[in-house]
Amino acid sequence: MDSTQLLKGVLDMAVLAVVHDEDGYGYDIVRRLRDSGLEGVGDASVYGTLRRLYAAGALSTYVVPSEDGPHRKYYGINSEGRALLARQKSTWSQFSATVSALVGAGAAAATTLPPRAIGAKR
Amino acid sequence: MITADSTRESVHAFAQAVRDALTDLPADEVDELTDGLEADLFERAEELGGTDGFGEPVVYADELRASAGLPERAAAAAHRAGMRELRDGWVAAAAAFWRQTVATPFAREVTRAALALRPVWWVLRGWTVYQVFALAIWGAYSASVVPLGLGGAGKNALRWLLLIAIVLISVQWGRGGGCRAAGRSTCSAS
Repeated sequence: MDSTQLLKGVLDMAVLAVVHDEDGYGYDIVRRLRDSGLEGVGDASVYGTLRRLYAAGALSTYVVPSEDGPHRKYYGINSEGRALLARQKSTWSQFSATVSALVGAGAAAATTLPPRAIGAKR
Repeated sequence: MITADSTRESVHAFAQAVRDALTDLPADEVDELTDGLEADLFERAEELGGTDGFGEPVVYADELRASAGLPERAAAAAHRAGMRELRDGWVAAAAAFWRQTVATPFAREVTRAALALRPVWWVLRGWTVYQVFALAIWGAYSASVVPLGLGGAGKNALRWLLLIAIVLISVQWGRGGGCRAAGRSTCSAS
């Protein structure tokens, strides 16, 4: 199964979870996602997601100047972001439990399930 | 250090190319989207040992805007529209050329002569179909212009019958089609 399709559906939640642990700048967040096992995640996808979550009011930003190079833009989670993350976590738990039960119940069900349906956004 | 400087330079060039691919968006949107990009890219370049692994800036920009929920690149849409215009232009030019060609007196005469000779084409069509049938039924021996020689008189009579029948069908078909094409209300062929 193509995991990049699945990733699209959960990237918002993954990014929120990483920022929830600790504030971070773009590439730092990419690295933490990759270190967690999401190795296929694209830089630009993460930066775009950060920008979208910020525009949606789930993240706050601040700039940290650097003495020997370009400034870094840090992202931190706010109360709205924490509420969004809690909602997404609960949806994900239910969804993954449902799919796991379905897949566990019969191998045939797994092969007939379209990959996009799992990664699709609500 | 020369290496760090050259990396910094290519990072700037890449970031600029990404910004160039976003110029159709409002300037403040581009600023928000690419603020801090150099720092991120530079860190990655240090890890990769250069900017070679970055890929195409346009692809990078497309991924950036898609994940940010921003509209698709206007240039890509414009390119598609441009291709459509080009194609439409060709079609129009070809149609104009055709109209000019058929408008010449010579072409009109040729067309009129071809239309007058229409029954001849119907007969020829019937004959061609007969040849195909004859080849399929009797093989290469029957590939003469009309059924002659080879085989008994009965066989030849059968071939003539088939040829005439097919030609008649072809002619009747042609007349029917001709009636429809001319838009006549009364048409002898059903």
